[in-house]
Amino acid sequence: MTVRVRRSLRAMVARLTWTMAAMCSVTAMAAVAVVCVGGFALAWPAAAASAAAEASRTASPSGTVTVAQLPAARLGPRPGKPDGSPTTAIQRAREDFATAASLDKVIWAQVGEPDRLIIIRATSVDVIQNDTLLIHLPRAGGIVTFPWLALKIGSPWISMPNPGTAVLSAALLLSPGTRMRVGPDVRRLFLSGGTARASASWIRCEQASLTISGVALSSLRAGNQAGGQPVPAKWGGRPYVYAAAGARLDVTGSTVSDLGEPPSGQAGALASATRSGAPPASARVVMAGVIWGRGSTGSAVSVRFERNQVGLALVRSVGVRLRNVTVENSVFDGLLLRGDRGTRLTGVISRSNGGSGMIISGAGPRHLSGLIAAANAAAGVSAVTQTGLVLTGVRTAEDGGGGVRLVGCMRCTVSDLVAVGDGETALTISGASDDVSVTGANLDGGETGVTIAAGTKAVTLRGAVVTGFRRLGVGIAGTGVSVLRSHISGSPVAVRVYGSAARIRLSSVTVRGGVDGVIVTHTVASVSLSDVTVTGVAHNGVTSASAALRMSGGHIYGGQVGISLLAPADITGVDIDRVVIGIHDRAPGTVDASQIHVVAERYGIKTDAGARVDLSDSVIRAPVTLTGAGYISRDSLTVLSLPPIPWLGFTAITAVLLAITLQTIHLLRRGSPRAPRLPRHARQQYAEDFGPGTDSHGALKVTN
Amino acid sequence: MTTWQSTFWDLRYYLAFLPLGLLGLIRWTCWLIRRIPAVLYKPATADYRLPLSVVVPVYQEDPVIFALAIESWLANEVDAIVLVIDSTDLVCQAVARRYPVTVIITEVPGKRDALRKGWEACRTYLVALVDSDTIWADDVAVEVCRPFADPRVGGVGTRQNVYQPRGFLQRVNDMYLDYRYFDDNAAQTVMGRAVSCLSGRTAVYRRKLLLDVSHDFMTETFLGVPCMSGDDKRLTTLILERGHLTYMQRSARVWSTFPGTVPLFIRQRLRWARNTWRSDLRALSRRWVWHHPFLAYTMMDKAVSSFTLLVSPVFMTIAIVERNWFFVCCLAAWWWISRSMKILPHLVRRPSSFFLVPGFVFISFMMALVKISALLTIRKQRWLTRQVQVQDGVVVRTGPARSGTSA
Repeated sequence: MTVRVRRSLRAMVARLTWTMAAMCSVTAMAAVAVVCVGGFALAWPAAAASAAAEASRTASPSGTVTVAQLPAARLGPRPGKPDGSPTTAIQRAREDFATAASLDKVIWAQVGEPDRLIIIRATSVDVIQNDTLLIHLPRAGGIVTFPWLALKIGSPWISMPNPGTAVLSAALLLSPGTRMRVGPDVRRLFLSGGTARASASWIRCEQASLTISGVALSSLRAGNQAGGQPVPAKWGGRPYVYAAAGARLDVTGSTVSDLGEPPSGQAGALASATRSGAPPASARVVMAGVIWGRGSTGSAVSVRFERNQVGLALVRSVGVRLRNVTVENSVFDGLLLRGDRGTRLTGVISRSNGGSGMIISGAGPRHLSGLIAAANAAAGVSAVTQTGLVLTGVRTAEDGGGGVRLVGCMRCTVSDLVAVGDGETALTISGASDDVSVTGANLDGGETGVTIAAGTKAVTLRGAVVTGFRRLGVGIAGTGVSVLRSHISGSPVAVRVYGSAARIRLSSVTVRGGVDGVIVTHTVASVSLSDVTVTGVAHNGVTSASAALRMSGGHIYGGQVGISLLAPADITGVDIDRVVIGIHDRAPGTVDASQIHVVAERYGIKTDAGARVDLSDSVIRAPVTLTGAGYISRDSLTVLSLPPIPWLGFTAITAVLLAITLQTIHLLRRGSPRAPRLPRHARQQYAEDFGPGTDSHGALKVTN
Repeated sequence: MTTWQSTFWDLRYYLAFLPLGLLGLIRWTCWLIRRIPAVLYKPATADYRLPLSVVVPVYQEDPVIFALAIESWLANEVDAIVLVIDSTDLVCQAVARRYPVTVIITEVPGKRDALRKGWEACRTYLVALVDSDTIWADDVAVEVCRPFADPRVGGVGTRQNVYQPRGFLQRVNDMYLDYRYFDDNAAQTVMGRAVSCLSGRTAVYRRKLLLDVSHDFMTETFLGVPCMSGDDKRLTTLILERGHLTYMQRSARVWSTFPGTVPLFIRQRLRWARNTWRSDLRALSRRWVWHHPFLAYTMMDKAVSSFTLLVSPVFMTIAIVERNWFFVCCLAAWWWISRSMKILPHLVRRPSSFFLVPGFVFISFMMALVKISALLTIRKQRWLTRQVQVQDGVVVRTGPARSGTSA
């Protein structure tokens, strides 16, 4: 056989082989297709029947929508229709899905049209993207957990990148009757958010129960890995947790951080315009990281709220218990209470927040105790238009806007307040407050201790200790104000009564140190000082320009002038001692002084031209008892005399003179003996060694 | 009321600005209790002379001062001069060889042993224990013998001053010395002839008494620790314990050197303060001191004053903190005036010291702190200004030997 023939044969065999292989492949694929189609055709009725059976088994008529405007809806198989063919089951499932979709669309619109929404119902879980229902997942009821959701729904909605870490990238709505538990299987829960509000992941529960225990709950920038950067405070899509409409939210042993929407629109503009940059109260609610809303209840125990927009808010909640809660570094206020009832606070600390430590507003009455506010940019505790508020055991320290502010409060009581180093005023009562009682306040350091502003009425300050304020101890401009049994020290002016103040009463008040003790301006009507003690002031004990000063009892010790008067006054039973001038009457009008006792270093009573002082039954002791261009009258019971001798000073002089006398006696007795002198050789040696101009210090070596 | 009358009455109120409190009043009273009898002091004038030897323990003394001192003793024509020189101090040995003195070289460190060796080597009735830097006036030997006319007198002290004081600290030392000899010692001499301490710079004792107290002197301990310094206090106390009297003869003047630097000054004062605390606390716990009630009173007063002296600086500090400058000025002026009154005898001798009184007051406050510190470290036995200390109950040298060829 030739080579050509053999090649031809080989090519032919190869072609034949390829052809047969191709035909076998095609045949095999055709066979497989036939088998699959046939099998499907045979299995479809069985599957449809099975799905219909499943739907009928899990369906519950209890699913309702709590949004008031929506009609009640039912999900699941309709009764009365026989479930038979697959076509019917499919039809029913499709109808259920459509019903859920239309319901969910309404809810989605109601809750702010989030990009992604998960609605958890008692028997189903719906996953909605924009306004489209993607998944309608039946469930068996019971407590919902994140691991289960992550398993059923999965990323990007809910993911668990690591054991114990969950990332929620959708809004989550707990419908009535549902229960959800976060932790302990989840220790870190991140709610993602972005710049747009719709991108925020939030958790809301309505007539549902949400329990968060031992979880670090925080926000997460969309697109970041778990543990990445939180959502910045200014981004509109910052997550939050909201319990409303009869829900129950319990947070225990957790940290809640970087949550809460920023103020938006007009609220945002107002926020930047106000002095402290704080948005109005209406906007603050939605800004809280965690909100207990109307009718909700629950608790926060051993929880730390950090860097939220507003730490937490209680708005018309009922019976919420806060125990060992710390709120700090919020962008705005720490804690917001508005219209809540039955709130119990124990061990609540609000510190280093960008607004107030706590704002209390809305209807009362309420009793709050054990609050600690420190280093907040605005006031420590601010109570606005409260009635019947009782604040007990509040502690504030170094709050920039002052310690406690009561604005427009009626029948309120503050007891056992301690304020240290607060900026501005430690305690402010203003805004037409009426019937406010402050008992046992201990105020230390700052600009002003207490300000009782104009427009306030019937304010009582009892048992206060006001120490070390840089400008003023107590400033009074209200009416019907009483300061009782209080101690004021270390302020340039201890008490200043000014403006439209009227019917002011100071009783058993002790003033120590400072420049002036009590100053009353000419605009004040009716001031009564009884048993007021002023010691150690540098200038005047009492200065009054009010024509209605009545002063009875008390003691003024030290200073330039005991009582300086620029208007008529009535003074009875006052002791004035160790002053330069006892009483100085500087203005026309009559001053009635009876049973006063003055010991002055220079002048007892001094009157300027046109002034008149009527003395009765008094004792005036001074080098010059009565002086001045004015007129002083005295009755027969008044005693004028020289001051008592300062015996200790006299003794000192005596001791000095005695020492001189004794030395003189010694010299006289000694006579003039020859004073022993250094031996000649020692004097000569010293002169040789050191000379007249040489400093010998250190040249001699000392051994003992 | 006329102008001058009103001015007078106004002036009365300036008395109120004299910051004498109750404590100050008490302290002044205590001082007057000492000052009044001190004014009545007169030195003994009896014409009485006994043989007198001089015993001088020598250790690392300045050779120039040492020579001056030897010559001053020789000028007093004493019967014998016994120099007990430490074996390591070759310089002073060379200086001593130039003079007709008896030299005893001792291997045993410590002043007490040297003193004992010295007085055991003497044969005269009286022995003067003198420091090696103490220069005598020409008539010290004559003056110190006069009080011994009273057979009850066992020891006599002299009046000391600083040898040509230069610098602030030496002037302060001089002020302290005059204060001591014109107040404390003078009053103690007048009120019972029981001077608390005959200073070791020059103290004269009956030799027989020194031999009697030798053992107690050498074996003194305090709270279990053998004592090294405070030899003068100890000898005085031993003499008084045995019922003898001690007398300060102010007409016998000696001059000695004192530290001019702050560290040395403080160390010396600390050592003296510890000696005083040990001696006075021990004395006050014994019955014999109550036979000399004025001595007991001065001891207690000295102890209390260490603490009361610090009250006034506290007021000053508070006034400065509160910026009460008027009170600060009043108190500072009062310190100046009152302290000047208390050291009038020194100011009569050296009026220029009046301008050093504020510094003297400040030093006094420092010394009060030193005294309290001494009380807290009362068991420590260190000379501080000499390189010796007690280790395991034995006095040992702690520094290197000093050598040289001649002074």
